[in-house]
Amino acid sequence: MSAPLPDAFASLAPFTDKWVLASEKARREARMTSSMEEITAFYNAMKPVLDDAIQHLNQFELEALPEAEQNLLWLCQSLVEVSVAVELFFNPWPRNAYPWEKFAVTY
Amino acid sequence: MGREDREFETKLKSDTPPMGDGPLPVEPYVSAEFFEREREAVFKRAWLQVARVEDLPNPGDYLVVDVEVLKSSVILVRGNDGLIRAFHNICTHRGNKVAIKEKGNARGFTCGFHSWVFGLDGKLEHMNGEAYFTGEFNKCDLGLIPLAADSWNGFIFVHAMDKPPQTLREYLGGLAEQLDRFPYDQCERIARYTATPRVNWKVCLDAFQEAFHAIMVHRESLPLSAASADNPHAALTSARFYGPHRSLSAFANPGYLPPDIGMAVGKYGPTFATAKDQFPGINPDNDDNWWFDINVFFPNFFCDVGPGWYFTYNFWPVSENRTRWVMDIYQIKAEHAGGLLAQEHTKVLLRDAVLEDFGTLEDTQQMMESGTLKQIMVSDLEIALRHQMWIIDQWLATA
Repeated sequence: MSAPLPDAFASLAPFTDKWVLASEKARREARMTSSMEEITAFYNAMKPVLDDAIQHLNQFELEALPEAEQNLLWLCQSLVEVSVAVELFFNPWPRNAYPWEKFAVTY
Repeated sequence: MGREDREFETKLKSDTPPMGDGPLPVEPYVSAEFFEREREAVFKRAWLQVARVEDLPNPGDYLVVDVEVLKSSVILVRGNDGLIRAFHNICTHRGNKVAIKEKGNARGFTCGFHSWVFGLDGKLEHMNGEAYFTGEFNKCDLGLIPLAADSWNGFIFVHAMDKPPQTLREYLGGLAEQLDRFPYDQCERIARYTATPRVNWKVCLDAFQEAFHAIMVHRESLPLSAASADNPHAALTSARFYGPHRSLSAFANPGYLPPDIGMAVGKYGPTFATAKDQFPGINPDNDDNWWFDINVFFPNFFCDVGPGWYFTYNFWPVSENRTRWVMDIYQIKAEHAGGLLAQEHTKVLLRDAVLEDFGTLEDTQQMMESGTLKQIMVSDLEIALRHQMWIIDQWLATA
């Protein structure tokens, strides 16, 4: 059984293995190493349910999310991470970006 | 073509210093000799931003900051009396560093060489081997060596001079007044990025104190956001000069369509791409089509503010062609998942846009060093570059 989700969001189950990621670093790496097909499939599945997901999650204390809700939030954060690839760059990563390996991330 | 052909004029809301209008020389961006003069005349005579008070919430919390341009490592530490002090990270015995870790909580600092012990207030508490030291000395004079430290709205600054000629507040002047009302203490840091590009600190800093570049550099990340048919070159809406400091308001294209997911999460919190609300401490001249304010604290600190978020840059010179750059992003504390996702969008979009900004820096530095150009062209769209260079020249002239 992969990461559980709230029942109402069971349709997102095919994406949990790849996109339930707990840190910016992990989400960014998943984005950088995915094809546009993978990113777009995830984006297209998430976008229509994003607002429902936020309204569901907003009922919970951010510091005390149950496991399924925490997984859903991480999925939503992965959606935000990849959204700029789909909506702005039309490429997994900015084409004119300074080499990422020269950047250090503290959080 | 002339001034009458301009589609849009930036409002200059303060007196503009007599800083000329011609090209700027290349030499200050490439010369090791010029850099040594900046080290002495600018960085050793200015208040330098090094941290925020939230980095040191409790007595004993400390932080070690490398300040290459002062050739020092600085300890910031909160004492048992609640005060934050700054010390050079050097043992008064034989010069070893007394704090090795980047940060922590301690009851004092014990030198790892011969175990001299210093209190949180810097006093030498245990002079190991005291009886064997001969000659005249007073233990009271052997405490950690302090730097002047002060804070404004939670931003901690240090000053290398024993007696700074101005208090921090006096130094910040009108810029502090403009920014006083912003609720920094209601925000949380959501990201820190660092890089050490091969670039002069002013080339690096200049890339962030004009909006003209946004049309080209950010054509993917922020398409059509900073320019419009009425303002096709992304002229600033307004600019203010406060002594050595300056504040620049960036134009927002009213026809800009923010990205969809930004709009979706922007319902639940401010984002860099979508927030348009009134907010304390921003848009000081009530400009129409205002986006955000670029606030430059001379010499090397930015605090750019928008409705519900702010981000800072420190441009730390390492040498004439190496800069350690630090970006911190802050946003109103998230109370629920929606607020957190709004923070995430601010962070992701700013991060990717900054990666675009960095694309030009090292190429510019390399070619400036080729000696091919003796001077660079600077437009009124880039007036902040002229101000920075003019102020540096003033400080060098009075060294």
